[in-house]
Amino acid sequence: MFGELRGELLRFLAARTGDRVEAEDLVQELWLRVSTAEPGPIGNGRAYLYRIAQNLVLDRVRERRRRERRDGEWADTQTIKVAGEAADARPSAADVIIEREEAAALAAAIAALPEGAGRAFRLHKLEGLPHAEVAAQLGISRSGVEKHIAVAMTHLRRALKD
Amino acid sequence: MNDAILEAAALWHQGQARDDMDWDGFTAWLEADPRHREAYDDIALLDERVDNARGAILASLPANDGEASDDHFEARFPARRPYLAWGGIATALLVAVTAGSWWASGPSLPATTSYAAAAGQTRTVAVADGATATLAGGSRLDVAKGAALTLAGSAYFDVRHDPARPLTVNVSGFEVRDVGTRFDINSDGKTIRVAVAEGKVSVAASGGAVPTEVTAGHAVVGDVARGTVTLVTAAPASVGAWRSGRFIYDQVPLSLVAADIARYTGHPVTVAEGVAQRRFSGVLAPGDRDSMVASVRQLAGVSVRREGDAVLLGGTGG
Repeated sequence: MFGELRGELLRFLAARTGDRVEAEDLVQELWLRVSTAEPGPIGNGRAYLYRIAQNLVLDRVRERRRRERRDGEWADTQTIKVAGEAADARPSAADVIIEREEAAALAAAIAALPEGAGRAFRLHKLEGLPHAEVAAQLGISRSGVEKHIAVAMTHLRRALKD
Repeated sequence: MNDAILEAAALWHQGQARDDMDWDGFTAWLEADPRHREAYDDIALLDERVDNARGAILASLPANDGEASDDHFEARFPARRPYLAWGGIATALLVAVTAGSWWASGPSLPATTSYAAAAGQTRTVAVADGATATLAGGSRLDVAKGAALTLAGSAYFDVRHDPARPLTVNVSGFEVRDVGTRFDINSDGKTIRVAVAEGKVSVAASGGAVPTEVTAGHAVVGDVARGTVTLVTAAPASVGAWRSGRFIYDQVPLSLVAADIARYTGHPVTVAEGVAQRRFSGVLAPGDRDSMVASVRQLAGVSVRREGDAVLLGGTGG
């Protein structure tokens, strides 16, 4: 299965990362993952491989951005504080505040969404209903739900751009 | 970056959960313009931020939209208000968890201690230095001194990082091994699911199978008879949400949802073979068996049939 799809997965990963070398590396990691995991019966093996590939890429993107942000914060700290403290230990109380601020910022942006997009977004993303169920509840098509949520995500991205 | 690109990225992102996702089309879209990749990264990470903060966002959003159309909305979807009004229930259950906390101490500790939580209740116990387990109603955990834990049912684990002493939980022929994390295990004896909210665990069928690593935001579903596992995504906010009185499901096999309801209410709920492995996503308000089963029927579109004292989901003829 993997052998047949290796070529297209590599092409996908190169497009997804924009980096041929990283794509090769990820294909290798993907192969290791599926060959050791013995994933068992899967309905759609191709979609399964693509989804794992997506997760691997996102893990890296997330880690890269976190590192960039941390480096930025560290630099800020150094310019303000003359005698630097240990750079790592951020008190957990501060983490709690950051989490709360994050949720408040997201909630405010969600509250400001256009009505239809906001309702579809809340039902699907916050209340956890599948697309089909949201479509039934709002009396629109499934693709209409996806369009609403895409509009909502675009608004949120604009509102939360750091 | 323009809105059209972000919208397209968000549409592709939603499509990937579907089995008929056009992966070739997605690849071609990514190749067409380097901005597409960047937009997709932004959307995927934003989606994750929302998932991670879901509980807190719900808590800080107003309880209803305050619009004239709300009555209409409410009438069509009676399940909505209970969900938004759960704050009180969650608080009550948290109190119950605290009151139920108990740790057998003293010199007469037997070799194996069994902890059980009654139907509809949760119970938090200290299972090792720096590790606690919160048992879902109707579940049992056996703790042997210096040995692995054995779980029947469902429990949430919170383990302080200690590489020298990993915690191992045996459940229905699988071994879940952890060195510092928060995760949730659920088993009905035929299917297990291990979902990770923080950190990383490894899951393997007992008897030396190669373990599968499960990181935060993911879960594995294990087939007990075959000893195989399947990796899926799982919103961290959904992991162990039952502890605060919310049954939040993200791609959970229907058989485990039924097992949760049965344990929580203390009344049997079974699932027809044909739909047992169907993935269920949605939120159930805690209640009696009939109301919880009715929500599942509505959300999953499965039939419900009574057979004596038991309730069968997804049987034929419905």
